[in-house]
Amino acid sequence: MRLVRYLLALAAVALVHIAGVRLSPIVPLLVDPILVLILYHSLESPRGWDIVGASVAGLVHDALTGGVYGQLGLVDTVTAYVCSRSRQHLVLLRSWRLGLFFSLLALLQQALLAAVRFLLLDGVEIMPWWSVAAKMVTTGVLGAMTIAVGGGLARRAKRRRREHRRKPTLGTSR
Amino acid sequence: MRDRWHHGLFVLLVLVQLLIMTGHEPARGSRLEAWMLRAVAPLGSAVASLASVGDGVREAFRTNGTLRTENTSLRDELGETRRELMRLMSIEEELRRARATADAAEPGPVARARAARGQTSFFVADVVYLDLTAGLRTLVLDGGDAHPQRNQVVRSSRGLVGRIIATGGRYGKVQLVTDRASSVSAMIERTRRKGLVRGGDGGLELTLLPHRADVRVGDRVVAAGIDGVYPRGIPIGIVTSVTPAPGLFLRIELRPEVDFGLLEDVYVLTGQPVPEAIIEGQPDATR
Repeated sequence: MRLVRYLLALAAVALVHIAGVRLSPIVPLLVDPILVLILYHSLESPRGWDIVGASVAGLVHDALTGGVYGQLGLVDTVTAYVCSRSRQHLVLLRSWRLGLFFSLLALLQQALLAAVRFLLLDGVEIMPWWSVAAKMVTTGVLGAMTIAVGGGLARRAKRRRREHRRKPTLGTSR
Repeated sequence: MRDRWHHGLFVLLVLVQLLIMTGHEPARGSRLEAWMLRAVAPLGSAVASLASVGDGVREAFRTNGTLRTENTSLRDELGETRRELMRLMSIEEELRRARATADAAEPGPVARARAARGQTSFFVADVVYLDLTAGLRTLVLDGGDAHPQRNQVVRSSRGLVGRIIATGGRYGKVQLVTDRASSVSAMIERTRRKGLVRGGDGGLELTLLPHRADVRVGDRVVAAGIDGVYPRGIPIGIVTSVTPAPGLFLRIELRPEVDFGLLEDVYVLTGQPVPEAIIEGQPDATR
């Protein structure tokens, strides 16, 4: 069930990404919805699923973008791992802190991508600084929003389940 | 234990990703990439389809808006045209009444003096026949009670039509300016350079202008008023081409101001634009 949900979410963000590219070629330089999904998934999922999901999402992202196949897969796997390890040591209760956390991870992703392109794939251009800054801002904002919305939905579902369990059913003795 | 398993999985995934990267051949592409593309490409098609549907809807809305605007504009235009038509109809009626009055009355001393000074009066005549087979060279007009006479000048509101070359009662036959045998002394309105307009193959030709004459495409040519027939200033045509011809003169083609195919009513000028000096010396010259 978790896998299906994740794949559906991945398809949805891929759609958003494609729609953004179709809207304007500059959109993918400003916002990365796939990264937001990867980070959200890394925070919310159990160990193991986080980095596997990030790898798959990175490869999907690679399929959509140009360049050497696998670079985004590698970078996203590392970013998700860092995110997953960091959440144990951080207390992220306020939304601005969450936003900042997502922004820093977006910066990390861009730095890793630049490093991979610079070291392993000689001669490939590095992202412009304004694109990195824009991605940090948009990832921070979207990440905080996603956590807030996702958390709210999860709480509501939990409450409903609890109420469902408490409700007396026919045939049960008092 | 769980942490170690997580680390191990991470290292494994990084190695796999590195293998994918190093095994990548840009010329052929990898099989994994092909699979991923096959899985993701339908999403792109879906977005494209949605976008095309959206474009279609937007286009439909835009077209609808444009059509509404055009409809409003055309309705306004139609109303304006109807008002203009009513105004013209009333003017036509007034002209008919004025013609009837003028026909009924004898020319008084003022009219005679005006004619003696070379100022022209006119009457309106209906075009009853247009010689299409000969390439719009002649037309027949009906002058009503005002009998047309030979050499009277015929013009429309737009410009020169021709001169009457034959009469028969209330009818007159008009040689159009486009007739091959027609010639009108004319001048370029902008530069006052004079020449001779002759009829050509369906159009007009301005001749007797030397190579150094300042003539441009778009110049208006009007009657020069020095041939004793056509009054000065009646528009004849617009210069459409100026080409150097062998000999002394330019070859200048004109587009007639008047669309002869649309003529219904014409004005027949009854006075003669003879110079005042001649009129003073020869009082009978006004005929």
